[in-house]
This record gives sequence, C-alpha cells and structure tokens, in this order.
Amino acid sequence: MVGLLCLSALQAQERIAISGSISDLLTGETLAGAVVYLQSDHSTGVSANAYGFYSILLSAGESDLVFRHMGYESQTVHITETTDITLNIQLKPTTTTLNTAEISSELENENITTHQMGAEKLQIKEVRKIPVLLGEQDILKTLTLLPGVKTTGEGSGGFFVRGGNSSQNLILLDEAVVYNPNHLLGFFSTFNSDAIKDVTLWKGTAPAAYGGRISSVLEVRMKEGDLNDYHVGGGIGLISSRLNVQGPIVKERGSFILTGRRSYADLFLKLSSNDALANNQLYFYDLNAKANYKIGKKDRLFISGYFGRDVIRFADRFGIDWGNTTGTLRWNHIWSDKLFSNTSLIFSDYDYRVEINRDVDDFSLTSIIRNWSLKHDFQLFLNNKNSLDFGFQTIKHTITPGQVEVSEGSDIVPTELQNRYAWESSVYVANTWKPNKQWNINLGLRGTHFGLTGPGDFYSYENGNPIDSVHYATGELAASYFNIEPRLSIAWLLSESQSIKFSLTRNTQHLHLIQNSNSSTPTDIWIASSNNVKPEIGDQLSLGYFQNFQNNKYQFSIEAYYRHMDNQLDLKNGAEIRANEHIEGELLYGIGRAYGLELLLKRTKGNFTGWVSYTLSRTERQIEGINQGNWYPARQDATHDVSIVAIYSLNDKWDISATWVFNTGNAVTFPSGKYEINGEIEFYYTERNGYRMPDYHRLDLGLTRSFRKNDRYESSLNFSLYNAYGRKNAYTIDFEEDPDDPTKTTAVMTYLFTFVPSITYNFNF
Amino acid sequence: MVLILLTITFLGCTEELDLDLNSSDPQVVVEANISSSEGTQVLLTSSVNFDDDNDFPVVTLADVTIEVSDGNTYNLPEMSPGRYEMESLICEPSKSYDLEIQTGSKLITARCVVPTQVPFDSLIVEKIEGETAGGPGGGFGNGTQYRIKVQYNDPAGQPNYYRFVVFKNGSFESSTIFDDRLSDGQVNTNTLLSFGINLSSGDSLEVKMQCIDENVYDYYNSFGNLFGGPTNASTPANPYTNLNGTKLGYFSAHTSESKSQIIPN
Repeated sequence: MVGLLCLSALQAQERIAISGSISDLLTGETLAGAVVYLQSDHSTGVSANAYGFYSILLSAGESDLVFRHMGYESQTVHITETTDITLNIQLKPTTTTLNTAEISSELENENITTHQMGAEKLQIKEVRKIPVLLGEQDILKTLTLLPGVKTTGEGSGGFFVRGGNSSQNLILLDEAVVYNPNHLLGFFSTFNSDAIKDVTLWKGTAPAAYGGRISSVLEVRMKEGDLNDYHVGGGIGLISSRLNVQGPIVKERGSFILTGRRSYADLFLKLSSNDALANNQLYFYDLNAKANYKIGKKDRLFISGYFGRDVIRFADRFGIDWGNTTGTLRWNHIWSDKLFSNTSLIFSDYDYRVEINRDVDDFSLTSIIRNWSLKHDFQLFLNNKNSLDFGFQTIKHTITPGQVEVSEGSDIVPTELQNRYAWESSVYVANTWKPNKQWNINLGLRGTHFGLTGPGDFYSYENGNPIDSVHYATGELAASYFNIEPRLSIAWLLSESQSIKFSLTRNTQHLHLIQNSNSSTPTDIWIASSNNVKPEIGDQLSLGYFQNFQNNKYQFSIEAYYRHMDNQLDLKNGAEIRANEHIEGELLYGIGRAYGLELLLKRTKGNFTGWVSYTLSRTERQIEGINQGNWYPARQDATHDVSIVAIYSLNDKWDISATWVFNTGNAVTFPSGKYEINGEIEFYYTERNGYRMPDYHRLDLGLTRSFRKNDRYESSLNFSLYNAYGRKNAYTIDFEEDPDDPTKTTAVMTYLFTFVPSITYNFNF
Repeated sequence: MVLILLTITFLGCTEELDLDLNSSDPQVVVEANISSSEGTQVLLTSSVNFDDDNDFPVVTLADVTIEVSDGNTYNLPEMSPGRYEMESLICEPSKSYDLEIQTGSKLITARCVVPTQVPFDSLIVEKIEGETAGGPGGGFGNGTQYRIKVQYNDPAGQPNYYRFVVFKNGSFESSTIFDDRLSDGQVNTNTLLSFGINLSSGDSLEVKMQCIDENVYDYYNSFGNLFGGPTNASTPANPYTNLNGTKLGYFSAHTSESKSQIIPN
C-alpha cells in the first residue's frame, strides 16, 4: 500500500494531477459517473466515483479538459497549471423541467468503452414518462423492461435476473440491504421515486466491492438535497400521494431531503357496502430522509435512512404488517489528489408480524432479520491507466426466526426460537487497467468469510429428522465458510463505436430465503448458511458485442450468458416453515443453470427515444426429491421476453409514451389426472413445472402535460392507461368442478387488470 | 394466502379456459382406515385423465391383508366392488398395522402405528352474534352462523396429532388437523372452521376426533398446504403419502371418538 503510494508519487513528478468533485450547478447534488476527458484525446479520461470525486493525470502544460454528464451541458476548462490542483466543477442542467427525453450514458460511447457488461443504469428522470400501473412511478418496474430482467406478472413481488430467484438479488439503498423491496404484494416497490437519484443494476457481473447474492446487485442511491435553495415537491395520484422537502442546512455546505409517501387504497374499502370489507385495512407508507455536511475541503458526512411499512388487517380477526428500516452513516475523506475513501456504518432490518385474534385468545408471530455493518472502501487513482479499488466489510447478522406471543389464558405455549448470529466479513481488491486505447480490463478478487456463531443449539438431520444436536456458547463458531470470488471483465475496443466484452464472475450467498411459494410473500423466512445449509455459489460467464450507430444515436448490444448455481434450496412438499425449530430438516438441495441471449437496441437522442429489448433464455433446477431428480424449468423460466419502450416529445409541453411487453408464460405445474378420495375430487400431478401459463402481453400508454409558470414553480399532469387493449393475462389458473356439468372438471383463469386508467399530478417549487 | 384471496376479491375476474393437459397413466388410489370404533375399510379406485368424466373406476379382485403387531393377519373381503371391509377389526393404541394390497402385478404396502388416545373433552357450538362472518368474500348464505370449538387436554412431552371431522346431518362437512408443536401439554380449545358454519335449528352436528400418527398428519397437512391454495403461487404437488407402491392415497390407523349435538331453536 505504502509502496503503491510512493510509486504514484514518483510518476506525478512528470505529470500533474487534477482532482475534485463534479456537482450540479443549481442544487449542488454530486454527479456520480460524470466523465472527465482530454479534448485532444478522448481516450485519456476518467469517470467520477459514486460521490462525484475524480482524479485525472495530465502532462504538465496547456490542455483542455471536458466535463460531461447526462442531462447537463458539458463544460471545457483550459488548464495551464504545472502543479497538482483541485478543480471542483459545477455543471448546468440542460433543462430544469422534469422533462429530459435524453437517455444516454455519460460519455456518449461509454457503453462501448467501459469494461462493465451486464450493467444497466437508470436516472430517475428518465423513467418519469414511462406509463405505469395506477400512475405510481416505479424504478423496479422500469428495470424489468430491460433485457435479462423479468417479473412473474402482476401481484407477485420481486424481479428475476438471468434466471436467479428474487432472493438472489442484493438490493442496496444507500449501501443498506433492503430485504423485501415490495409494497402491497409487489404492485409497488419500496423505492419512492422522489427520493431516488439513480439506480444501477449489475446482472451477475458486479465489481468486487459488492458481494453476498449470486444473481444481481441493484444499487439505489438517494438524492442528497439541494445545497442552495429550499424546494417542496410532490405528487397526487389515485392510489397514493407523495411529498418531499429539501434545502440547505448551511448554504453550499450541507443539505437535507425528506420524502414521504402513503397509499390510500383502503379508503376505497370504506365505500364498500359490505361491512366485513369496510372494516379492513390495507395501506403502506414510507419515509426517506438524508442529510449531508461538508467539513472542510476534504471531508463530507452523510446520514440517510428509510422506514417503510405495509399494514393489512381483516376486521379485527387477522392482521399482518411488515417493513424495512435502514440507516447509513457515511464519511467521505479525500486523502490526497489520488486517494479517496468512504467509510460507512450501516443498519438494516426487516420484520413482519402476523396477528390472529381468536375468540379465546390473541396470538402473534414475529420474525426479524437485522444486520449491522461496517464498510471501508478506498479508491486509488494510480494514473490514467490504472486505478485500484480495495476495502473491507464486516457484517453482523442477527436472525430472529420466529417468536410466538399469546394473550393470557391461551392454550398456545409462547415459543421463542433461538436467534441465529453470524459474522460475514470480506476483503476485496480490484484493478482497472487500460493498457491502451483498445483494452479496458478489470480484475478483482473478493474473499468472504462467513461464520455462524453461538449461542444456540445446532442440529444435524437425517431424512429430515433431527439426529444430533450440539450446543455452542456465545461467539463459538458453529459453522464456518471461506470463499474466494474472482471477478474479471474485459472490453476490447474494435473502434470508437464497437467493442467486444467478456466477463467471468463468481458470487457467493450466505443468507437464503425460504419461500413457501415461488413468488415472494412478506412472511418468507431468511436463514443463514449453517452446518446443514451450504453457501449458494453462482458462476457466470458472459460474452457481448456492443456497437453504436449514427454518432452514438443508436446503441446496440448483444450479450450471451451461462450461469451455474450450486447449493440451491427448495422445500419439501407440505413443509412447515412458520416458527419451526427444525426448518433445516424441511429443505431439499440441488443445483441450477441458466443461459440466454439478450439483445438491446436503444435510441438515445432526439425527440423520439426508447428501446427494444429481447431475451431468449432458459432457467432450470435439479433438486433431489423433486421431479424424480430430473432437470425441470424454474417458475420464472421464460423462453421469449420482449419489451418495447417509446417516448416521444411533441414539444416542451406534451410527451407521449408507450410500452409493450410480451413474455412466454411462466412454467407451472398443472394436473395431468384426477382422483377421488374422502369423497372429494383431487388432482394428480405427474411432473414439476411441466406446463406453461398463457403468454403474457400488455400495452401501456402515457401522456404527460408539463406546466411551467415561472422559474420556480413547475408541475405536470400524467395520464396513463395500463393494459390499453385489455389483454386478459392469467394471474392464476384453478382447476375445479365444472359449474355447468358436475360430472366434469374445468380450468378457470383469474385475471386482474384490464384497462386501468390513472391520473397523477406532480409539482415542484 | 389470505393476501392473495384479498387481491382476487378486489380485482379479479374469472374466465373458463381451454387447456390441453397431458394424459396420465392410471394410478391406484388407496383410502385405507382402521379406526378404534368403526372397524377397517379399504377403498381402492383408480385415477383418470383430467378431461374425463368424474367417474372413477374401482379396483376389484385385489388381495387386501392387514397384519397386526400382535401376530394376527386378516384378509379383508370385498364387500362391494372396490370396497374391502372388516367391521370387527378395530385398532388399539400403540399397536402397529401393516397393510398389503396385491392387485394384478402391483404390490402396495404401508405401515401405521396407532397413537395414544387423547380424550375428546367437549364440543362447543356457539351462535356467532352480531357480526357477519368476517373475512374476504363476506356473505356465507342465509341461516345462522355457528362457531364450532373442540376442547382436549394435550399430553405433555410427546408429539400428538389430531384430526377433527365435522358432519352435518350425516354428511361430511369439513376436516381440520392440529399438531401440538406450539401447545404441548395444554388444555387446547380450537376453532374448527374459522369463518363459521351455517346451521338451522334441528340440524344434527357430529364431530369425530381422531388421534392420528405423524405420517398421516403429514399427508393431510401437505394436502392443506397444496390443495386449493393460491394456485399460481405455491407449486402444487401430490400430497405426501405413507404408501409404498403408489403415489395417491393414505393408510391411517387412528383412535376415534365422536360427539354430537342437535342445534336448538
């Protein structure tokens, strides 16, 4: 480390380092990913890190530096310095309205030059005009319009990346894990678009700094708040409303942002003539808060948090509520013009509580997963060809699998399952190396140790029955795993507008979601790797070709991937997962594989923007005890998946947009026969996921009218029509007695939404 | 589950669908019970394809025997087509029973141990006053809603499994299972139908309490978890079975105790 610093100091004698931060001229919000390059030689360039910090080396003497970021006017600075300098740049937004129809990378051909592949980045303002269900903008829903990312339809939460399960996505909100990103069964996500700055999704190819899930990393970053001026903004929709306040704490030094959102779907229940329905509750709310303060020129502190909750209650008889809480305290420090660090202390928690009010007693079940984490990341800009990222993270996990509480006099015995404690520690180092104009290489290595510790009793199982138990004291290791995760990605530039990329990645996962079903429900249970449950390992190989046309107006990419997954879990038929001490005895183990081809064509400039994406893929599992041990398609396996997104700006007042999606129906298990037992007709199943749901397709339309009274006040009205041609997409298919002919059985499909119009009013001043 | 019901209630519309389902080889379906009060019945039928009529062929001329752990072996005569019965063969707690069925070249076997008998202390039938039965969907037809509760004293320190079967005017209404995972050693008061049952005065109500063994509990429990559930969400599969040689059905040797009530005015 010290050696490296000396080395870079030596090199700096011939060259000068320009470093600083890049931010928005109006709000002071830092611009992560903004690029800096030499006007005379575009290949001499760097991009700003997640906190807007950059460092570039130049030959002493005169030169022109260009600073660029999507949605901002680029700025050229003439440099005449002969020594290292700090140069903080503020870029002016191209437009201050909500409307930016531009969808482009920071550097126009950055998609070609970066070594990253399988990465999707969205700025929140890009998604505003895409039509959505009930007018609630949703970053997760927009992500599913990209190749390789899919949902399993309405009302089933979560998203699936390249054949992984929804629980194999690492979802980070300002670095804190969000265990359940869904509100209202997945109709909405926990990410309030007012609070979000940008979103990056790595489809199994994340840099070495990330780890812990085998399928993807979704990094969501919250806005920092305006450093210069106070603003109030919000939106009023049919199902929910939002409000946000932001402004400086001390002008140009510190700022804050507070956002809130609440749904009021249950108010419609009150209109119901049915008393039983009118007494029910169904709503969610969430709050995001963030503040930051610059201490001197080299330090900046950030504190951010999220709190969200869903509540469902049936007429005093049954209730469930669940939610995530996260908190992040960050300290940015600039050690030198080449060394930047960020230290974070992170908290995250997910819990649910089920309450049942019986006639004789009240009974509740609570389950919690919580972690505290310390993370220290360094970025060392060695020279324009080399940069190093390195750091460590240590996480303390506490899982409370189930606590049963009862009212006095109940026949249920209050039960508390033993908490599980684990330490997950990792170190990583990654080198980005651009030896010349043609190559951009990132080689990273991550080592992760996972230790499950006492206090507690740990069982071993045979045929699902506990055969032995060992007690471990506090801090004693009950199970321990160490894995090395190599990450390699290479871009080979054939020209300024063409490149071939390759990546090889290993990810491991130590927290496993136990799902009674394939769609996530709030009461799914997380368990840790243990003496019985081995860590999940995902290995992915991908190859891609990228090309831009017509001066980067069109971006085209084709990527192929193959992923192998070890130690995949499933439940035995009829397994008991609630408050079950022996849940590990209910598990089945196996492997998975996924492969596919992803095509994307984007138009990024002009009045007409959008993209067409197509994915051809296959996802299979082989688990002992299921389907006679044969490979079978995972539920989210969809052969074809197409999304078309089109946004057209008529003028500065009107925008119209449309999206169309199509995918092969999910793999599903249908009966192949029937029989009678105990006087009832039951169904006979021969193979797992041997059938397909009907194909899913849907067209959504959107229309946005923007109003601008003066520089300060702006507003817009958004109309959308979900499922514009009323396709009846199957939500469930049930098999039952034919109502017209009791000697027959028939299949009945339930579908949810046809023609859902909505209107949302957004404002900001 | 309830969440999904709610969703469907509010938003869902349904439509019949024409699906092309594969055909399947017929499977022998075994419904075999030995009770401490009602003797032994084994019903053998066969599964059919989904598109066929609900007409399930019986399996006749099978050789059905029961071997008891005390050494006695009984051959069950076929009393009517597919129905093999012996009223005099009743089971006793802690004895094990081996079932053997030979039909054509197919051999089906199963073993079941009768658990300790736990007394059925009381049957409580209450009129649900005031409120309409809560829960999704609301209306449950006309008549008065009643709540049925059962009471028993669970023996401490051992796993126990129970099944309660409700008959209304002699016909099967519902069955509910309980374990003592969370209520070991307690006086249990359990509600059988959470949303109540429609009864009129003069109706006769019978509740049978069965103490079942763990495998049989697993059979009914996997049915409960799989059957009817949010079909799209949970992966349906054949329920767990304690039979070897076929996939469908069960063999239960259980204690049985019954309580009845006539609904007053």
